[in-house]
Amino acid sequence: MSKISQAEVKKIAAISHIALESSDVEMLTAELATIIDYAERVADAPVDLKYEHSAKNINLFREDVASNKPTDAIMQQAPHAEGNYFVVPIILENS
Amino acid sequence: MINLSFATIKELRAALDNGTLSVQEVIRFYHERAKKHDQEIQSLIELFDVDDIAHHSSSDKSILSGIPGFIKNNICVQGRRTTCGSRMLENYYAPYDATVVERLKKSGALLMGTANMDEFAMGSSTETSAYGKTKNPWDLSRVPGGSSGGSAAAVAAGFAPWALGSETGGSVRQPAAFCGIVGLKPTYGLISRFGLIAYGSSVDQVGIFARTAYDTAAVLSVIAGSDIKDSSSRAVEQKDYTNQLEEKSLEGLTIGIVDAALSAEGMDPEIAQAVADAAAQFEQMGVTIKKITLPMLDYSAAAYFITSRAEAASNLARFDGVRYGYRAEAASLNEMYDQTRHKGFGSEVAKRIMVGNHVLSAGNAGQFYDNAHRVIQEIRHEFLEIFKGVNCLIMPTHATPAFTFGAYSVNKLQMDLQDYFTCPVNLAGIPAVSLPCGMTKHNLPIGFQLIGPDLSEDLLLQLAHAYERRTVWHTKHPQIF
Repeated sequence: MSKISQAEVKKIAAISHIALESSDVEMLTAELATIIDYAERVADAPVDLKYEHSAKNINLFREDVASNKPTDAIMQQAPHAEGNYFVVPIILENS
Repeated sequence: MINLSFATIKELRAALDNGTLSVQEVIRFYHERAKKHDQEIQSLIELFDVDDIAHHSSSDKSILSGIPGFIKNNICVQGRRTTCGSRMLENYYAPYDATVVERLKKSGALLMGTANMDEFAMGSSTETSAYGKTKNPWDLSRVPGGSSGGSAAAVAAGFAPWALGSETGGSVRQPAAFCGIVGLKPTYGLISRFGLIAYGSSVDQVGIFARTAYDTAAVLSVIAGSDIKDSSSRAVEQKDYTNQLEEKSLEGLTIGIVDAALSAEGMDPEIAQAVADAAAQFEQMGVTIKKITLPMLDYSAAAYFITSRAEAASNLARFDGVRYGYRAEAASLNEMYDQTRHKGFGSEVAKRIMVGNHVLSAGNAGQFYDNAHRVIQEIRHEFLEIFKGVNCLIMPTHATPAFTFGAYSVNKLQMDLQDYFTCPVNLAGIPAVSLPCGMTKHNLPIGFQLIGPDLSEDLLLQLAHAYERRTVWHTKHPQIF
């Protein structure tokens, strides 16, 4: 039995903000099911976490200091900008 | 006169220092070679102009000054297109240098261009790049491995003696093995990730491709060490890794061999034999070989799939068409997001983001994400316990030699399982180096990896260097041009 349904795939795509072609849903569901089925084996691993955990790294901290840098190089990357603002499609309808 | 095409960093350094070769000659030779032959190999996203290469080279004297190399295209080079192999970042020009690039520029290294890769480093063949399929210089009908396949192929084809790649689950070691060169995945935190575009942040590391252990140590000496801009970088000072390599007795060292790995399902018998031969070679050098078991090996790939996709889902949420990168025009904001990500990402990236959001979603996170993290802790614990009894481990890097294009286009799980032998190392955060150790009867390279505890790069490179002194595999080059 597949571990994921087409309806779930559509829901995850919506959460992921990725539009789906309806013709892709069936194949995508099968592909995701294969990997999810494989991934399930983590639940069967004989894990015994009674020992002291050894962290693989420790955070390196720096002073939290604000700095001002020229924004030109950043704003030039914007698909659509006006001055120092990013322009996006309208969010609120005009009343 | 040295054969410049396949010259090592050490050979180029000597020729530059004794005046038999000039930096201008170096630039001209490799630029011409790459320009001429990369049309066939397609290892590069961009080959910089000769004038730019010279202009950005610092006059500082270091082991890498005047030595050319390539940068995987997910590592920011200021003012250069940094595409991550994706249409999403087709017109993205990095506004700053990654710390590794800053250090390379300061060292006087010659940055020749940027290398092709699987889109957002997601793949094991470089087939998912939006900028063409890189070919394996040993056999043009085969993949170079991935995701850092462009970097590996560029070095193997003789376009430069070193290149940077990045690893999340094996993306340096596997292509190094496929292309017959050395590939280092350092300890998590040894090399700064600042400016490396994120995939799975808890495992991502910049890695090094080169022809020899010495050359790998030379690049590591320039780029490793603590960086205040990367909060996960270790408090380790920069140092010279090349001066630790020379012959020390290997007597008294013990290497563990993961016995089950050589008889694993799907393991190519030629690779199993070559890795067993490598272990035997170390035994002849006075090393004790001890068989060990790694019970978590069989769960590593699953834990890696879960954690890497979960982190990718979060990391790649930033690509929304607002501030940079591709944008699909649409009437509403949500439609703009959905279409931007649908058209900007390739299918493999979209799939991994979706798996990531699935394993993180309410009702699934306990079963997948939480269990994966328990497995990851157990894997690290298992390795650290093993290293109480052995100095390092030997494992195959790959189960099959370089495969043909499209070989896994139907069975994608088998493609993902290319990470089987490499990803436990990433999950544990420990270092490993892949070295050439043989050729198949079809003349394809075979690699094995030496895996050590945290910050054991010195030991791994010393062993690799000793192995190279007694074998010829690292001197083999593809005979294509």
